Amino acid sequence: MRKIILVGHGDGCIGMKKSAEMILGKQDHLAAIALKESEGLNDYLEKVRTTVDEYMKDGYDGLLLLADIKGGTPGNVATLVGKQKDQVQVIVGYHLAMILTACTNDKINSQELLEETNQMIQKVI
Amino acid sequence: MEIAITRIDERLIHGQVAYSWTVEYQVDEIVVVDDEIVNDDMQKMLLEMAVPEGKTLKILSIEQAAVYLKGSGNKKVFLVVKTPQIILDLDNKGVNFDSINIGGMYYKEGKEQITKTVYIDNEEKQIFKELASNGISLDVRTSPRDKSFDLISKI
Repeated sequence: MRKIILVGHGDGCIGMKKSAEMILGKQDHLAAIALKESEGLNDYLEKVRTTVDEYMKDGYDGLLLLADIKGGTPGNVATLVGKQKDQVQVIVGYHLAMILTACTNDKINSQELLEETNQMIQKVI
Repeated sequence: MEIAITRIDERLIHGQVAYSWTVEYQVDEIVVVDDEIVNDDMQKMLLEMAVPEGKTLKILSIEQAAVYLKGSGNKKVFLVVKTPQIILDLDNKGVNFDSINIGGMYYKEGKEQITKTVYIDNEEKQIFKELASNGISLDVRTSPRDKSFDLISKI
Protein backbone atom coordinates (compact mmCIF):
# COMPACT_ATOMS: atom_id res chain seq x y z
CA MET A 1 0.00 0.00 0.00
CA ARG A 2 1.18 3.50 -0.69
CA LYS A 3 1.13 6.19 1.99
CA ILE A 4 -0.19 9.67 1.24
CA ILE A 5 0.77 12.66 3.36
CA LEU A 6 -0.95 16.02 3.06
CA VAL A 7 1.11 19.06 4.04
CA GLY A 8 -0.30 22.56 4.28
CA HIS A 9 -0.70 25.90 6.03
CA GLY A 10 -2.46 25.42 9.35
CA ASP A 11 -5.21 22.90 9.97
CA GLY A 12 -6.60 22.91 6.44
CA CYS A 13 -4.77 19.71 5.53
CA ILE A 14 -6.18 17.99 8.61
CA GLY A 15 -9.64 19.14 7.51
CA MET A 16 -8.94 17.80 4.00
CA LYS A 17 -8.17 14.39 5.47
CA LYS A 18 -11.48 14.54 7.34
CA SER A 19 -13.33 15.53 4.16
CA ALA A 20 -11.73 12.64 2.27
CA GLU A 21 -12.76 10.27 5.07
CA MET A 22 -16.32 11.62 4.99
CA ILE A 23 -16.50 10.40 1.41
CA LEU A 24 -14.33 7.26 1.51
CA GLY A 25 -14.46 6.16 5.12
CA LYS A 26 -11.44 5.91 7.39
CA GLN A 27 -8.15 6.07 5.51
CA ASP A 28 -5.28 4.54 7.44
CA HIS A 29 -2.75 5.28 4.74
CA LEU A 30 -3.67 9.01 4.59
CA ALA A 31 -1.96 11.41 7.00
CA ALA A 32 -1.78 15.19 7.40
CA ILE A 33 0.99 17.32 8.90
CA ALA A 34 -0.03 20.95 9.54
CA LEU A 35 2.50 23.78 9.48
CA LYS A 36 1.95 25.95 12.54
CA GLU A 37 2.15 29.73 12.40
CA SER A 38 5.08 29.83 14.82
CA GLU A 39 7.04 27.07 13.10
CA GLY A 40 10.27 27.68 11.15
CA LEU A 41 11.15 25.84 7.95
CA ASN A 42 13.77 23.62 9.58
CA ASP A 43 11.50 22.40 12.39
CA TYR A 44 8.74 21.61 9.93
CA LEU A 45 11.18 19.92 7.55
CA GLU A 46 12.40 17.75 10.40
CA LYS A 47 8.83 16.78 11.29
CA VAL A 48 7.92 15.83 7.71
CA ARG A 49 11.21 13.99 7.16
CA THR A 50 10.83 11.98 10.39
CA THR A 51 7.28 10.97 9.47
CA VAL A 52 8.37 9.96 5.97
CA ASP A 53 11.23 7.88 7.39
CA GLU A 54 8.90 6.14 9.85
CA TYR A 55 6.44 5.23 7.09
CA MET A 56 9.25 3.95 4.87
CA LYS A 57 10.40 1.71 7.72
CA ASP A 58 6.85 0.40 8.04
CA GLY A 59 7.15 -1.00 4.54
CA TYR A 60 4.82 1.19 2.51
CA ASP A 61 5.28 0.89 -1.26
CA GLY A 62 6.20 4.44 -1.97
CA LEU A 63 4.88 7.67 -0.67
CA LEU A 64 2.97 10.57 -2.13
CA LEU A 65 3.42 14.01 -0.63
CA LEU A 66 0.64 16.43 -1.57
CA ALA A 67 1.08 20.10 -0.64
CA ASP A 68 -1.53 22.85 -0.59
CA ILE A 69 0.11 25.58 -2.73
CA LYS A 70 3.15 26.12 -4.91
CA GLY A 71 5.74 28.33 -3.27
CA GLY A 72 4.55 27.90 0.32
CA THR A 73 6.64 26.41 3.12
CA PRO A 74 4.81 23.04 3.12
CA GLY A 75 5.32 22.75 -0.66
CA ASN A 76 8.96 23.78 -0.36
CA VAL A 77 9.54 21.21 2.37
CA ALA A 78 7.78 18.49 0.35
CA THR A 79 9.92 19.34 -2.68
CA LEU A 80 13.08 19.11 -0.62
CA VAL A 81 12.11 15.71 0.84
CA GLY A 82 11.08 14.45 -2.61
CA LYS A 83 14.42 15.45 -4.12
CA GLN A 84 16.24 13.52 -1.44
CA LYS A 85 14.20 10.31 -1.42
CA ASP A 86 13.66 8.22 -4.54
CA GLN A 87 10.37 6.63 -3.50
CA VAL A 88 8.69 9.94 -2.66
CA GLN A 89 6.60 11.75 -5.30
CA VAL A 90 5.41 15.30 -4.79
CA ILE A 91 2.56 17.46 -6.13
CA VAL A 92 1.89 21.05 -5.08
CA GLY A 93 -1.68 22.36 -5.30
CA TYR A 94 -3.89 19.59 -3.90
CA HIS A 95 -7.66 19.57 -3.99
CA LEU A 96 -10.18 17.11 -2.64
CA ALA A 97 -10.77 15.31 -5.95
CA MET A 98 -7.03 14.74 -6.26
CA ILE A 99 -6.83 13.34 -2.75
CA LEU A 100 -9.79 11.03 -3.35
CA THR A 101 -8.29 9.76 -6.61
CA ALA A 102 -4.92 9.15 -4.95
CA CYS A 103 -6.56 7.29 -2.05
CA THR A 104 -8.53 4.98 -4.32
CA ASN A 105 -5.85 4.30 -6.91
CA ASP A 106 -2.73 2.90 -5.38
CA LYS A 107 -0.82 2.59 -8.64
CA ILE A 108 -1.36 6.04 -10.13
CA ASN A 109 1.87 8.03 -10.31
CA SER A 110 2.13 11.78 -9.63
CA GLN A 111 2.10 12.74 -13.32
CA GLU A 112 -1.01 10.68 -14.08
CA LEU A 113 -2.70 11.91 -10.92
CA LEU A 114 -2.11 15.52 -11.90
CA GLU A 115 -3.35 15.01 -15.46
CA GLU A 116 -6.41 13.06 -14.43
CA THR A 117 -7.54 15.34 -11.62
CA ASN A 118 -6.82 18.61 -13.45
CA GLN A 119 -9.77 17.70 -15.67
CA MET A 120 -11.95 17.70 -12.57
CA ILE A 121 -11.44 21.42 -12.10
CA GLN A 122 -13.92 23.09 -14.42
CA LYS A 123 -15.71 26.31 -14.97
CA VAL A 124 -19.37 25.33 -14.76
CA ILE A 125 -21.35 28.49 -15.43
CA MET B 1 17.00 50.29 -7.62
CA GLU B 2 13.75 50.94 -5.80
CA ILE B 3 13.33 48.75 -2.74
CA ALA B 4 9.55 48.64 -2.37
CA ILE B 5 9.64 46.50 0.76
CA THR B 6 12.31 44.88 2.91
CA ARG B 7 11.32 41.87 5.02
CA ILE B 8 13.01 39.68 7.59
CA ASP B 9 11.60 36.19 7.17
CA GLU B 10 13.46 32.97 7.95
CA ARG B 11 11.29 31.11 5.46
CA LEU B 12 12.31 33.60 2.72
CA ILE B 13 9.93 32.97 -0.20
CA HIS B 14 6.85 31.12 1.04
CA GLY B 15 3.07 31.44 1.11
CA GLN B 16 2.80 34.85 2.78
CA VAL B 17 5.52 36.31 0.58
CA ALA B 18 4.49 34.76 -2.72
CA TYR B 19 0.73 35.25 -2.44
CA SER B 20 0.40 38.30 -0.25
CA TRP B 21 3.36 40.70 -0.04
CA THR B 22 4.51 40.61 -3.67
CA VAL B 23 0.91 41.18 -4.77
CA GLU B 24 0.24 44.05 -2.35
CA TYR B 25 3.45 45.86 -3.33
CA GLN B 26 3.36 45.01 -7.06
CA VAL B 27 7.07 44.22 -7.20
CA ASP B 28 8.99 43.11 -10.29
CA GLU B 29 11.73 41.21 -8.57
CA ILE B 30 12.44 39.31 -5.36
CA VAL B 31 15.98 39.70 -4.06
CA VAL B 32 17.18 37.17 -1.48
CA VAL B 33 20.39 38.16 0.30
CA ASP B 34 22.22 35.33 2.04
CA ASP B 35 25.90 34.42 2.04
CA GLU B 36 25.17 30.72 2.54
CA ILE B 37 22.42 30.23 -0.02
CA VAL B 38 24.49 31.73 -2.86
CA ASN B 39 26.65 28.60 -2.60
CA ASP B 40 23.87 26.05 -1.99
CA ASP B 41 22.34 24.67 -5.18
CA MET B 42 19.53 22.83 -3.39
CA GLN B 43 18.30 25.94 -1.60
CA LYS B 44 18.65 27.99 -4.77
CA MET B 45 16.52 25.47 -6.66
CA LEU B 46 13.83 25.64 -3.97
CA LEU B 47 13.71 29.43 -4.08
CA GLU B 48 13.46 29.40 -7.86
CA MET B 49 10.49 27.04 -7.61
CA ALA B 50 8.77 29.26 -5.06
CA VAL B 51 8.96 32.49 -7.06
CA PRO B 52 5.50 33.61 -8.18
CA GLU B 53 4.71 33.72 -11.92
CA GLY B 54 5.93 36.85 -13.66
CA LYS B 55 8.49 37.88 -11.04
CA THR B 56 12.24 37.56 -11.38
CA LEU B 57 14.54 36.33 -8.63
CA LYS B 58 18.05 37.31 -7.62
CA ILE B 59 20.02 35.45 -4.96
CA LEU B 60 22.98 37.55 -3.86
CA SER B 61 25.70 37.63 -1.23
CA ILE B 62 25.74 40.65 1.09
CA GLU B 63 28.67 42.07 -0.87
CA GLN B 64 26.89 41.65 -4.23
CA ALA B 65 23.58 42.95 -2.86
CA ALA B 66 25.13 46.18 -1.58
CA VAL B 67 26.35 46.95 -5.12
CA TYR B 68 23.15 45.77 -6.82
CA LEU B 69 20.72 47.62 -4.56
CA LYS B 70 22.61 50.90 -4.83
CA GLY B 71 22.68 50.51 -8.63
CA SER B 72 20.57 52.47 -11.07
CA GLY B 73 18.10 49.79 -12.24
CA ASN B 74 14.43 50.74 -12.37
CA LYS B 75 12.99 47.52 -11.01
CA LYS B 76 10.70 47.51 -8.02
CA VAL B 77 12.33 45.12 -5.60
CA PHE B 78 11.12 42.97 -2.70
CA LEU B 79 14.16 42.37 -0.51
CA VAL B 80 13.95 39.38 1.82
CA VAL B 81 16.56 38.12 4.29
CA LYS B 82 16.61 35.64 7.17
CA THR B 83 18.18 37.75 9.91
CA PRO B 84 18.42 41.36 11.16
CA GLN B 85 22.22 41.01 11.02
CA ILE B 86 22.05 40.98 7.21
CA ILE B 87 20.06 44.24 7.24
CA LEU B 88 22.65 45.77 9.56
CA ASP B 89 25.46 44.63 7.25
CA LEU B 90 23.69 46.17 4.22
CA ASP B 91 22.99 49.34 6.21
CA ASN B 92 26.70 49.57 7.09
CA LYS B 93 27.55 49.19 3.40
CA GLY B 94 25.43 52.21 2.54
CA VAL B 95 22.13 50.66 1.45
CA ASN B 96 19.41 53.02 2.62
CA PHE B 97 16.43 51.69 4.61
CA ASP B 98 13.63 53.87 6.02
CA SER B 99 11.61 50.97 7.29
CA ILE B 100 11.92 47.20 7.43
CA ASN B 101 9.19 44.66 7.90
CA ILE B 102 9.71 41.95 10.51
CA GLY B 103 7.49 39.03 9.61
CA GLY B 104 8.96 35.62 10.26
CA MET B 105 11.43 34.88 13.03
CA TYR B 106 10.15 31.60 14.29
CA TYR B 107 9.96 29.90 17.66
CA LYS B 108 13.12 28.52 19.25
CA GLU B 109 13.60 27.65 22.89
CA GLY B 110 14.69 30.63 24.97
CA LYS B 111 13.42 33.24 22.52
CA GLU B 112 11.03 35.95 23.61
CA GLN B 113 7.66 35.98 21.86
CA ILE B 114 6.66 39.25 20.18
CA THR B 115 3.82 37.97 17.96
CA LYS B 116 2.59 34.62 16.71
CA THR B 117 5.31 34.59 14.06
CA VAL B 118 8.06 36.70 15.65
CA TYR B 119 10.36 35.43 18.40
CA ILE B 120 13.68 37.14 19.20
CA ASP B 121 16.70 36.50 21.41
CA ASN B 122 18.92 39.05 23.19
CA GLU B 123 21.47 39.26 20.44
CA GLU B 124 18.77 40.03 17.87
CA LYS B 125 17.27 42.59 20.24
CA GLN B 126 20.58 44.48 20.31
CA ILE B 127 20.77 44.43 16.50
CA PHE B 128 17.23 45.80 16.24
CA LYS B 129 18.11 48.58 18.69
CA GLU B 130 21.09 49.47 16.56
CA LEU B 131 18.95 49.54 13.42
CA ALA B 132 16.43 51.78 15.20
CA SER B 133 19.17 54.14 16.34
CA ASN B 134 20.23 54.38 12.67
CA GLY B 135 16.78 55.79 11.95
CA ILE B 136 15.11 52.65 10.59
CA SER B 137 11.55 51.95 11.66
CA LEU B 138 10.80 48.35 12.60
CA ASP B 139 7.40 47.42 11.20
CA VAL B 140 6.12 44.17 12.73
CA ARG B 141 3.47 42.53 10.53
CA THR B 142 2.98 38.99 9.23
CA SER B 143 0.70 39.95 6.36
CA PRO B 144 0.30 43.33 4.62
CA ARG B 145 -3.19 43.97 6.04
CA ASP B 146 -2.20 43.14 9.63
CA LYS B 147 -2.05 46.00 12.11
CA SER B 148 1.52 47.28 12.25
CA PHE B 149 3.50 48.24 15.33
CA ASP B 150 7.12 49.31 15.84
CA LEU B 151 9.22 46.60 17.46
CA ILE B 152 11.13 49.21 19.42
CA SER B 153 8.01 49.83 21.52
CA LYS B 154 8.25 46.21 22.78
CA ILE B 155 11.97 45.81 23.44
